[in-house]
Amino acid sequence: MERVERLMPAKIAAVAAALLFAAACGGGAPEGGNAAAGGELDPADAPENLTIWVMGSAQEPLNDFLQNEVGGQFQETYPDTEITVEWIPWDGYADQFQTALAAGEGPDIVEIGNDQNALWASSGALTDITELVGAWDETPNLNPEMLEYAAYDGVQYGVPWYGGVRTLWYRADWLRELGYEPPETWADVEEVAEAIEAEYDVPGFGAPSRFQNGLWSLIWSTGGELAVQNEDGSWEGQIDSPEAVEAFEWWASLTESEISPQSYVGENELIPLADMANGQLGMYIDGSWAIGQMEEQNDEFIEDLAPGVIPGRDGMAPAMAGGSNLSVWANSASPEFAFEFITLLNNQENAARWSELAGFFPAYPALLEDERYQTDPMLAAGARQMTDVRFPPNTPNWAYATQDLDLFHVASLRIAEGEDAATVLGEVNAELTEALNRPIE
Amino acid sequence: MANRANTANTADTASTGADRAGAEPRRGGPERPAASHRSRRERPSSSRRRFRYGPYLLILPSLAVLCVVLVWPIIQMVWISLHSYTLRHLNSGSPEWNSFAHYVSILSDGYFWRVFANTIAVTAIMVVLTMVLGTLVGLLLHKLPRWFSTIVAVGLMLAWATPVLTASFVYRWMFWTERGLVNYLLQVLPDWLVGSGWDDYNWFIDAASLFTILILIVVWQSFPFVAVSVLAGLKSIPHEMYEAARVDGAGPWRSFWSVTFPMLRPLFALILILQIIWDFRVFTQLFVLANGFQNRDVFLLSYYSYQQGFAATPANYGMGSAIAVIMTVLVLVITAYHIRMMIRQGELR
Repeated sequence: MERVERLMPAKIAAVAAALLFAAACGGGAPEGGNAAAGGELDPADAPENLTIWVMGSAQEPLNDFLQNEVGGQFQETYPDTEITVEWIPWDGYADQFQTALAAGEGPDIVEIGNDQNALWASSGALTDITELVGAWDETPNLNPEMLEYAAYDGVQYGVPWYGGVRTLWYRADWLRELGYEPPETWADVEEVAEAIEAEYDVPGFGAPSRFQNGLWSLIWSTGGELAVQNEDGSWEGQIDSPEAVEAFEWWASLTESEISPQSYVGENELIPLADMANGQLGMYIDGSWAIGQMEEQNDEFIEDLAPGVIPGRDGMAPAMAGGSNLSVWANSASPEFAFEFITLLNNQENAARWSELAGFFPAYPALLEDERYQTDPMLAAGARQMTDVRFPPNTPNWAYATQDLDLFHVASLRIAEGEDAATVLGEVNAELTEALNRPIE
Repeated sequence: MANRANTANTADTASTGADRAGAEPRRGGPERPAASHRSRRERPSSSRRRFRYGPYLLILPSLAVLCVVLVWPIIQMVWISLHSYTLRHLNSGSPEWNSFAHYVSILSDGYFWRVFANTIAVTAIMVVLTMVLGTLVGLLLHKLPRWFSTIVAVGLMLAWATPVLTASFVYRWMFWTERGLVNYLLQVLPDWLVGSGWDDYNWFIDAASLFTILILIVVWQSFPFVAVSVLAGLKSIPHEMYEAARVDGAGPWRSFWSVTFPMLRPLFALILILQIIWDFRVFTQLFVLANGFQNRDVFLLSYYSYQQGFAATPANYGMGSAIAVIMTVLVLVITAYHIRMMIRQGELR
């Protein structure tokens, strides 16, 4: 409550600024970021330090960009503010968040995985920035679906920073020699995989059973849904539909027909990733970030790898829209300045630079039309995939159902082990419905 | 918890000691304190009374430390288990009393009872195997020539002294799918003996196979302790008793049950109870083998408690504590039963 009160004057100022700005522009396209809501902030009030938590392991160019370039831009207006960039490894990040939260500490600005937004928002880790976002002049240019997914329960907790999608990684040299285009339908996957196995004597396609984001894609590609929300707010699982059954069955059939090795049952993408890096696999589905990990393991075949879109039943499957938001941490002492930094870091120019450096896709649809996303073969497939993305249900219980209960893997494992898909999914769907409607303590 | 059992023993020894000084006949527990008070009051000599404060003064520091590091956290744990206490409450707002909601939801949850049954079964198998194997090896050590017995004992102690984490990782690697030693050997062995398809076999998915490895690690690391304890006990039994048994025509089986076991009964009782308590709480080995909290089929109570309290989304401290409270009560019941038995048999004298 205190937090909200503290924010009020800034919010009023922000709304006022937005109204003035809207009046000045008269509905035309906004230009530049100078008239942002935060322009009203007095540099004399700026804090001595703003800390930003970025996910992943520190990479020098990225750190340099955040610390020196964007930090430098910020200091042009607020010369007394030091910018501290801290890198939080994805592995075990939740512990760090919890500890900071419990101690009443933490950063000012934080990167939040977009599918974790509901979880941390409902845990009280993030500041309500609805009005600041509403007043920011770049907001209308952001991808509206990504923006909506950064809200929870009608409150905006973040702004989308970048997007990432899974793609099909394949051995471009082998497909070229065999005379195949990268497969975009399920039938094509089977055909190409069998040809690879016949010619090169390695498995043609990797279908690990622990593959939930990928399974969502397959379900969406058959026209199925994961879960729907009723008007009273309750959720209903949809993975017992014939469409979902078809998707699960196809995935399991790849193991059964020995297109994908039996040893991938029970594993996630990391095992096919290692095999791919070592030249022991023809194709598998993983994020654009996987290329870096493969290179670390073995760079011998790295030049021969190329991405394609995720194959669906009849053509490109919608991808689960991965990516991250920028949020203001609940314990930030100066939330207005934290948001001011976000507006600078995430303006179109900096967002484009960041995406380029980090190998992701900007959250501004206009930027995706840039030529480099059409011509660079390493980017083109992902950029095309970015045009068809979907989001999982926006409730903190989604993390509970998919991480704690691991329902998608339970289902896919049981089907891979030979159980009847319709029966399994009937049971698992009942569990999914129950989990999504779990009261939040 | 081993500590707790020991302290409980010490405390009881102290009180029975007081009883003995009071020359009161010892019967059931509840009357004992009253009895010792009475006897104290009846003592005329003030020097005797001052003397008896001594032991209490001596254990006072350790009691104080125990209160700080054990009793207070347990009180906290019980308090947390009775409130809605998640990540959200940690940061803002105070935890709310939820009228036993955690206990109600756990005790009516089929999944909890499945974990509970698994925990009891796995613990029972571990304890039985450890006791039997440990005793047999102890007897073997006793029969071996001294130099050889020393070598074997040193080997055993190495297994016992290996850090739990190290041992768990070694076993995980040995059973690794495709690349593990065990799968390799099973694949190399003839198919008519062990079946085929072992190189692909994943030991860590199915609960039965994962628990098998878990039991293997735990037994491998705990039977040396039993063996060495039994050996020490055996050395204290006079030779004459075995000679007498032999003269009476007793074979090895009979002389074990008629001489060794009765003589070592207190020792076996103590080791048994310690094994139950230790094996009941197994966590580290499972943490390494299960490699995360995704596979809910392989949870044991301690693991479930940790998952709820720290790895759930969002972390639910209340629920984790409720499970921990249930575990603590179980261990206390076992310990209390054990102490009662020992007092009955007069082993604490």
